[in-house]
Amino acid sequence: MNTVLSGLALINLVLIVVFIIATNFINMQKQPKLMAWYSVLLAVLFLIYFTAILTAAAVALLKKEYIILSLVLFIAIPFIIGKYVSYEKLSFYSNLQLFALFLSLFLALFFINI
Amino acid sequence: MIFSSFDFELVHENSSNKAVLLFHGMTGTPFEMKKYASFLFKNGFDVYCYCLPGHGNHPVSIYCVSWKDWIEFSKEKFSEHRSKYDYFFLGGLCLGAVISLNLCEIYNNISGIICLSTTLFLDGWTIPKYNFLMPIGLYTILRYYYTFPEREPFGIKNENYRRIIQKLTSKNNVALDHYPMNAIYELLRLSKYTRKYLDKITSPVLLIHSKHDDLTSIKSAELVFNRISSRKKKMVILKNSYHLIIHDNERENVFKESVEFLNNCIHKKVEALL
Repeated sequence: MNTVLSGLALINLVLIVVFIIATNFINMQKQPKLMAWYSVLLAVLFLIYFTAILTAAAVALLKKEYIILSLVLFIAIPFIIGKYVSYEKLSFYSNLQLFALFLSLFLALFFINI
Repeated sequence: MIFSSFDFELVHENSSNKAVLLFHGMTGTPFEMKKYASFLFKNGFDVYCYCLPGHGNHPVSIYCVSWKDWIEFSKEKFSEHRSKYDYFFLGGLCLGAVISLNLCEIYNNISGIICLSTTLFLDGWTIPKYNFLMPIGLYTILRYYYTFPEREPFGIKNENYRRIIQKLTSKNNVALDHYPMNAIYELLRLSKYTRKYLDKITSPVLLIHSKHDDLTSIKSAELVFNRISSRKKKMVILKNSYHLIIHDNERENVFKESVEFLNNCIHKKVEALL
């Protein structure tokens, strides 16, 4: 279980770093191609992140460590944010997404230690 | 009324009794419809074409519109001009074709519609291989960060015309040189809504689509052709063009088919009345 959670924590960390770079250091209007590549990278990382969460959930279910199943909520959060995001409030929702990623990282590390 | 510098209204001095309202493609402007419109005008039709919301001004404005804004705007323009003419047609390229279909589902007093490179799906051969990531790109916040850059062949098979269009779009003068994911999202939402009610369409329809369209395969045109309830419908498949068929190798053919279709609709209506 700890191996799976460590993997999840690692991918979570990489996702946070790339997300911060993409949203704070790349100008969408002036560097559309670079932003496009970072977006593709983020999409791939999100896919791996979701897979890691599902793997952790599956292992938790087998080991009857039901509290770890709470991580599954973090698969829904990006899509809930996606439903409500608008260009005018992009900054707010980006920070919200970042907060959610930090929270899932914290939880993954927390579950490793318990 | 003209709001954007790209809008145009081609109106005959001795008023015509037939007109066409055209809609441009996604990230484009009425500029791309100008040549096509001029041909229709020369053949006796008044032609109107306006910039869709989010287009033609600051590149950021396309991020702030939804498909409902496009439809509301189109309905406004339709209502503004319809009553002035005995015969009133709609026409559009790409997104413009989908808007025309949508209006046809709402109004039953449209004399006919011309759908050029109808884009209900994004499944052409230049769509990137990482297309499988589309659900994550479309339904998360990434929608506002990803843009799909315009790339070779820019929708045009003819290399000379392609160079001209490439120069124009690289200056962002007449069109964006990239497709924001948010605009794609709105197009796909409009497409989903339009597909639901295709069977409500009874006006005559002409569909012209390239077999080798790089952005949207012929599946879009075929779906429309098979689902609409129009008694008069025609599909023309081009074999030597890509997506921007009104600027490519067979554009003369597109122009002629369009005028022939429009005139046939008028003659058939006149015959029915006699």
